[in-house]
Amino acid sequence: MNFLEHLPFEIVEIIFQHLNGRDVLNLSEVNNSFNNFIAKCLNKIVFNVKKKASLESIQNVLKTSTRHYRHVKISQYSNFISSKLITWPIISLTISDIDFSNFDDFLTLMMHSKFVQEMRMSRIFILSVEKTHKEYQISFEYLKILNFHCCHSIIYEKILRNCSNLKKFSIKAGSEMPISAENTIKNLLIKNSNLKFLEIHFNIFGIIFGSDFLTNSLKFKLKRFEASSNLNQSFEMLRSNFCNFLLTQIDTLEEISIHNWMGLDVMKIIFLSPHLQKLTLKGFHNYECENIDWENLELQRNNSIEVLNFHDISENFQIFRTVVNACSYLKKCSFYSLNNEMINYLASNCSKLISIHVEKLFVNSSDYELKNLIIVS
Amino acid sequence: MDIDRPSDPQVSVVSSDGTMFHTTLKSILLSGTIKDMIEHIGEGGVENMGAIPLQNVDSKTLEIVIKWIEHHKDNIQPTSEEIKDKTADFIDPWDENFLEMDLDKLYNLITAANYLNIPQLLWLSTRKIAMLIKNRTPQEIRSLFNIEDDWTPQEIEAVQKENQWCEEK
Repeated sequence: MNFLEHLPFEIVEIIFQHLNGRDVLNLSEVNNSFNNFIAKCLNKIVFNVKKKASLESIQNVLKTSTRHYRHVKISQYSNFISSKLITWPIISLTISDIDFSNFDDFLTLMMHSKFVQEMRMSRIFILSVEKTHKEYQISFEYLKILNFHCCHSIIYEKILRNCSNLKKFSIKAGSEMPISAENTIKNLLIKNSNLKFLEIHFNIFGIIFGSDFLTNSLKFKLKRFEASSNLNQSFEMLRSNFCNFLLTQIDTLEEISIHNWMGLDVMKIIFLSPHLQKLTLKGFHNYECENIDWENLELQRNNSIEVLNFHDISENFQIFRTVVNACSYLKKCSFYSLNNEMINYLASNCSKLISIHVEKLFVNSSDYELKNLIIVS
Repeated sequence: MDIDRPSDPQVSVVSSDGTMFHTTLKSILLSGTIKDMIEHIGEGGVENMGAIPLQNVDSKTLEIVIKWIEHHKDNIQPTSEEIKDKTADFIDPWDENFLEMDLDKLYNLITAANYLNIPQLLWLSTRKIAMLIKNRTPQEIRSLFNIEDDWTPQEIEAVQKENQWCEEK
């Protein structure tokens, strides 16, 4: 009994909800009618083009295919894009490691991406930007997730100008940016008042917090924030603008991830977040950190934090003690290293723990506290 | 109408082929479709309501449906919205056993669960089909569901080639 023939379309779709992409692909090889049906159920499948393929072989595949892939991933393969094989609207696009010879090729791809909901780009470069004459009017009104990592600044400038419904935005710049691109990024942050997740890395951090203009204009209330930036003490203004920004967000933040040392004030503010559940802290191995009197330092106790990822390669017990002391309702945690003293401190301070991950475990006996919770990876 | 009263009055339903079944109000309210009908009968109440005709469910299938709803009448039922996010971490062994039936019965049950709007039963029964598909080769799926292999060698080769470019999202 063939269910495709005996059940209506909407019920077969419900069956498909229980299947993953692999199962669906497997079904496509059952017979022609299954393969034709799968062409309508492509939401769990990504069309992934890698350079190892000859262009001819992909052309042949797409020529006979009845499928219009909704999710497309292209890496290291500019020929595929310039050959303009994608002629249908897609809803998620991931491209990485591509040098476009000119901006028009890039624009053509964007034209087919105007209904896109998720867009991820890493290491995209445009070799020649002067020859761009095409009128550029894509609004990306459906775009909700946008990741830009180390791309040519003209892409930031042209793409970021026109989206205002973002929920998640992650940006990492590779090189110096012209002022116009910087302004586009700032405007994007001001315009996207429904943004929930924000990730900013390195020089973008400096662009955003280099002046206090932005913190006063932002309307979004984040649930998740992640940042990495090398901020030493000389970046006093950046630090103070960043602190002011954090203060406007702490009421809603549920997840914070800070990958570099950004000063004690930042640490103090983080622990004030009333709904913070997951906290990641890295980068304590530096001169300024070593000179803080951690022994006599108390952070505000935060009872909402349940997950802590604490990565301190300096293995300083006093920093460990200060952080762990401030989150005694921890359920899950992971550390760079743990020794007997740290484990004993965890055992006496955090009674709700259910799992502990650690990269380096230094214990001097086979029988130590919390042994059954510790996983060494 | 007060459908939350402690007693559980008798209700009758009639299948498409004219067989009458007796069950209880609590059980039959698991069907969103019948719940809507009963909420609209207004004056007279459930006690004076005649047998509910179910034009789209035959007697064999209705018997199976009634067995399921009577077993689950005291359980809290998820809505069709809630069930979308459900993960299959635990399946009640009773349900697992209940769903051991021929494919044609299972298809009829799925169609009835959809028509009667019983989200949990629809989820369980469609999952049953999905589990038959999972981890089986195309050939095994063909023989299990008696599906004709209508590929020409060129066609199947093209699909297999295309699938090499695909991965799970």
